[in-house]
Amino acid sequence: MHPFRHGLMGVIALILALPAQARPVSYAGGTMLMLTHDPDASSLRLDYSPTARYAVGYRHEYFRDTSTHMDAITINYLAKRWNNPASQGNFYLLSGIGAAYDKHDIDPAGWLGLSADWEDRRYFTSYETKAFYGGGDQGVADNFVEHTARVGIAPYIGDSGDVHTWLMMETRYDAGDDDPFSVTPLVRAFKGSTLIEAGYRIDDGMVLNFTHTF
Amino acid sequence: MKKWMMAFLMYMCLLTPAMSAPTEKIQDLNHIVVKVNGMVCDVCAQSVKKLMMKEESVAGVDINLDNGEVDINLKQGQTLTDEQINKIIDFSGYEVVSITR
Repeated sequence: MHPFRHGLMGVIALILALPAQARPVSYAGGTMLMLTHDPDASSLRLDYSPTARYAVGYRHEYFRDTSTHMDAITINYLAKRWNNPASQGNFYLLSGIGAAYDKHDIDPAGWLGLSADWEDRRYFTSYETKAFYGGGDQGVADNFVEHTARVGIAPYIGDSGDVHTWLMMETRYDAGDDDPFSVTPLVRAFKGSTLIEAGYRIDDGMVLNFTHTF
Repeated sequence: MKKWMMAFLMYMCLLTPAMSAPTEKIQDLNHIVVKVNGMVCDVCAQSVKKLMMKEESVAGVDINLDNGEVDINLKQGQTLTDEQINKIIDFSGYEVVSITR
């Protein structure tokens, strides 16, 4: 595989892990802004939820190593929510369609995925898998399948309006990557509708995420 | 005559507590407590709060995550129907268990 394509596949794999960082659908009329930064890429994502069941959005990603961009329209659907007295579970269908491009080439890109999460006020767990199409062997990016999982624990239980803190561990697996496993311990803190995450991808570098829901 | 007077006094004694009872049970018509399932994080709570505060009749909302309750304070003389409350919680993505007025 061409080194350029290999690197691009890797950074696109990273952006596909983003929905694990915040729920892909918010409340009816809610707009979510997300900014991310990691050793490989920076991104901006804007999602609008017409109802509490689905969200439409736009995502732009910039990959520093290759000076490559990707723009996509996203549609995420909440297929099932389990509202329990002391916990909540969700099952989402994820999709996106757009283009990956550099100074010379542009190719269609898109993905389909599944995401599930469960949390109570002390524990959090999530799993996500995505199949990405980036034009195949002749395209700017290769096709691949990726799996991302998170577990988290809240060191204290805050009430509404408090600063809430979570200690989390994220693992990612992409069989097509040179280094298929990556592990990122991180701290999530949020107050009101603003969420910040800071972590360190082991043997790689800092991860910073910001999310605000309007 | 004495018997009638005694009977009247006894009747009044029995009646007095019954007459005063309603004043002790005056309802706070401006306050509603909604028990909600699934509201386990502050992001969930904020979405409920934002949608509640869009209602003209709502003066304030307090959320207790410990027991999953939304305390709604209405403006004087305003109302919020059960149907409206159910709709707001549904739009937030959660589920109403009970509404207490």
